[in-house]
Amino acid sequence: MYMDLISALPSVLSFDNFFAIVIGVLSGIAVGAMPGLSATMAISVLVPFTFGLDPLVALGLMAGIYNGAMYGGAIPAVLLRIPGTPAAVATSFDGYPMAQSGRGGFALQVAVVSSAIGGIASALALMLLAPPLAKVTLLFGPAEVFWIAVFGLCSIIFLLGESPIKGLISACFGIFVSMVGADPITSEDRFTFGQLELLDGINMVILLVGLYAMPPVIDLLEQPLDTKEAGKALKTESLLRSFPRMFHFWKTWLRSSLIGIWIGILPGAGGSMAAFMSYNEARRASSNPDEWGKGEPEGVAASETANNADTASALIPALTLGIPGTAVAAVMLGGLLVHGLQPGPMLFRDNPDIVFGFMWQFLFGAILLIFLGGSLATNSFAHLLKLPRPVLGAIIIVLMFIGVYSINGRMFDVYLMLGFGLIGYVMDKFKFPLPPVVLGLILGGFAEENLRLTLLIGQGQWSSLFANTTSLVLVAMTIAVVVGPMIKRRVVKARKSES
Amino acid sequence: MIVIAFCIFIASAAFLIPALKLNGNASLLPVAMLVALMGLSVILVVIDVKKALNNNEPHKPALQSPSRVVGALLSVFLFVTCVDFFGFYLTTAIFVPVTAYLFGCRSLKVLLASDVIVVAGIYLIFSVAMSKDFPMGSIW
Repeated sequence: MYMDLISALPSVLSFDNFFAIVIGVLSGIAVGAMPGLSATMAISVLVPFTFGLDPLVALGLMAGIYNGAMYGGAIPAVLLRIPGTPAAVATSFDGYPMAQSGRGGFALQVAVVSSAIGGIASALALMLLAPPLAKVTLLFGPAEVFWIAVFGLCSIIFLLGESPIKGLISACFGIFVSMVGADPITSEDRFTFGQLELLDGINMVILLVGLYAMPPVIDLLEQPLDTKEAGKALKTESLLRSFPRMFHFWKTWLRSSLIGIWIGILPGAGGSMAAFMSYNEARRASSNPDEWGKGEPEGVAASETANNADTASALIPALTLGIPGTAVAAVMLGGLLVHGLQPGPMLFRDNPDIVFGFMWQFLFGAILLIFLGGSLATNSFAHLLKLPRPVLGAIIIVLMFIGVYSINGRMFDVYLMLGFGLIGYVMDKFKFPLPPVVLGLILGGFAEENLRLTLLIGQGQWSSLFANTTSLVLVAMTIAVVVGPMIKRRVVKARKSES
Repeated sequence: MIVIAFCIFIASAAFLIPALKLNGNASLLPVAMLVALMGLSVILVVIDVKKALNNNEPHKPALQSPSRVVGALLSVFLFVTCVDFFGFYLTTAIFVPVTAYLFGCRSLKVLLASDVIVVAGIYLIFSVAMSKDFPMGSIW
């Protein structure tokens, strides 16, 4: 499989692909720099616009946005103490005090270099770990594939979010939405209520745009934001001159990259957890921990390296098993489906040029961050913070319309998106996690098809679902994911009551 | 939360009727999901009531500014409906500055500039370069 990785390189280096990564990184930084907008939202709005594009070009855009947005979040975190993305919260601890003492330019340079290093480490981890994992999963039959889908859903439900009940409701809703349309085996209409538009099921993009773009748009219009400080020019020197002052962060870069990669692979964890863990570990290892929180550049390095190291590694379980580690990875899976690419082991066998090309795009996206996120660009992106939020909200609403209408040229899809948007907003406000809905839609049909196939092969015997060792191992892993957090909670509760 | 749980229960029960009419295995997962949703919504109510009984802290409102949220939601729905009736470009040209103004942007320069950039940008990128067609409006 590693030969496929090398063969995919020339196609990634074509002008179209490279240009797509550049545009993606720039738009990602811009999106990340605006508080309230996230990489998840940007990719969901972008997916419909990539329909007419070559799949690799479309994936290059998404990889660029993901990389760029994770760094872009550091800009308002440093300048305004308002993290552009949730993963940039830890960056503000030392970044903002640095900006207050006139070292905001250096803080952002540390952020961009650390983000690039984290991103490169993450892309290399994806290249090294995904192919052997995919090779193993290629041996799976329908029963194992069904259990993988169940395991993926349970991981997201029980490890992500505070309430497993809310996670379960989200997942059941997603699975139910995946059932709309003609039955995959008998072609019987399910929940179409005579609407021809629903016969092919509900397009993933409609759900993604509604769930992920509507809540931030409403938030943009709901809350005013004070961005007076964003207008101040940053004092910066050339990156070449300031880079030697960062050399001694190498241990932090290495430690934080490993933490970020590990957290990325774990389903349910995310960039913010990686950044916090890495910040704490770096502070613990520091010789002057008392300076942390008062403008220690190593704090910015720790947080930014880890939240970027989580990007590509979150795609390791997503691409090989179809289980996304984060919300952005779930949306990226949606992007793959839009281009007819089913995430999972078959992707490596049927479309090696695309899947390995995607990995290269992550690597190049991370490298490009250093060139595109330098002093001049960062200064320009900082000015984006002055863009009035109501104007931004109105523009995103128009883009949401264009994206969804362009899929089939039907107003029906737009009204459907509005419905999902309303549901998404309510879910967001009442803290129902959104990734299980997307994963339910992605894995629902997949799980149902493989469950029914297993039952058909096993002549209706439910025991055929537990007929081999791999299935039993997957069942055990699923039980561990469900029961583990419950036991942990009980132990913590018991310890608390003892003390 | 009780209202939300009630809505989930009612919606699931309503979808359960057509789900039960499906043949054989086609109804397997839909029925399972809908029954699960109904059960989970009941559990959600129980947990919420228990929490409310044990918690003496004042209830925090879910929305900071309900009127602005309702306004924002209405503006999105109004935009889509108007596109259907009056056409995409006309509606967009009016919608962008009016929404921005209503939600707090008072600079005429910014409103005009953003309107021209958005409408011209969409026309050049989507209609000219990508040959996309947008609704012309059903009343014309």
